[in-house]
Amino acid sequence: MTPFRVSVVAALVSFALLLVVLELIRSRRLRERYALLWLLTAVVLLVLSLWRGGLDTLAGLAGIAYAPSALFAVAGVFGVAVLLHYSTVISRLSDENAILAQRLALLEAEHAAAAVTAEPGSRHVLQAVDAEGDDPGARTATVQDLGAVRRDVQRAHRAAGGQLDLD
Amino acid sequence: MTPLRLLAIVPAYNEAGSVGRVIEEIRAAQPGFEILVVDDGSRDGTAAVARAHGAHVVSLPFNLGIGGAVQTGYRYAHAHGFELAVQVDADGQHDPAELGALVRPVLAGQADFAVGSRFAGGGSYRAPLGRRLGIRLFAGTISRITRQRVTDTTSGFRAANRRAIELFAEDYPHDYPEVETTVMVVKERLRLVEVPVTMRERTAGRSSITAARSAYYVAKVMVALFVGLFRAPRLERA
Repeated sequence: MTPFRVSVVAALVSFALLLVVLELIRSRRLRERYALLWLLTAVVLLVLSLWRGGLDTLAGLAGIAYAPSALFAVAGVFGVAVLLHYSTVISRLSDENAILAQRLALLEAEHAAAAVTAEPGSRHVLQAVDAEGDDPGARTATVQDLGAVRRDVQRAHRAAGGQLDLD
Repeated sequence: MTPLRLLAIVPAYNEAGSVGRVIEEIRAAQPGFEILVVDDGSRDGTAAVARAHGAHVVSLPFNLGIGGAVQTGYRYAHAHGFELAVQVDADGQHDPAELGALVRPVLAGQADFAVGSRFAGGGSYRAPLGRRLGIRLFAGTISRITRQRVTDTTSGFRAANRRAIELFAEDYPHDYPEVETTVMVVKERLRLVEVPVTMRERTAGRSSITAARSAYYVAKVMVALFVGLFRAPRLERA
């Protein structure tokens, strides 16, 4: 049988965990999506702390001689589950972070090209592209952006009433 | 007086097969609406189809889920000064012919937020048993929380006025937002009204809610509802 004092302490600790998780959700520091596993952990530990017969049965089934150890084992299993869950979450976040960085870089390149064409006269654009082309590191990006720059130049020329064929 | 600026937000995830028709139907039924398709990281050319049909398109770089997509629409509406925004699903289950009825109470100033309900009379929508139980559970819980009869908490056919747009641009739930937004709106003392509508069978795609996700859905929403009761309101009182 689990010592009474162990049950009381375990129940208090799991109840505190439950309150902390709920407060974190309330204050928007923890999203429900990531809180569910924590809530389940807290509730299961609370139930097993209070329901002493259940804990003894569980310990007996698992061949654990000292019942409070079963409580540790359950807490350990949930701890591993939470960690594994977070590993998948971190993996997804880092993938999405890479996508965001790439999108931002491409947008900045487009934005810069558009800003250059906004200057009057198209020679600026071509010079700017040439100048950028001298830097080997920037060459790839420049080649990719050239199509967009060319379209912008043609649009600017058409708007000015002229015709320009860069091809 | 300048005409009201009206926006139809169409969240779309892999709905290339139906989004074009939805755009055309909205335009035919309500030519006064600008149409914004929020492409939620689709891989089937949804954005290109939407653009070809003349809608504004915002493409998210990866799938955010329905909550993130719809909030993008509300942020767009807020940033561009729209006075009224409606949400219409891209799968064709909402009939744009009913947009008029949906926006009427909002335009008339009788409500801040209108939800098209399949169960508020009219219509003969038959959901599968499991879904019906879930809907019943949420509707019962919400009606009790809001002290107002709410019949359809999972409908994504909605109309929001300026204040509701402001609220959603500021704060919108993730994952499965419909149930929580219903409570948010009432908690912020916005006036909520349900408008009876008929919904159609989806013309393409599948519901985002599979059996495996249902348990998570119910647990997540119930926790969010419970905790949401203890949150401070976001909007300043009018």
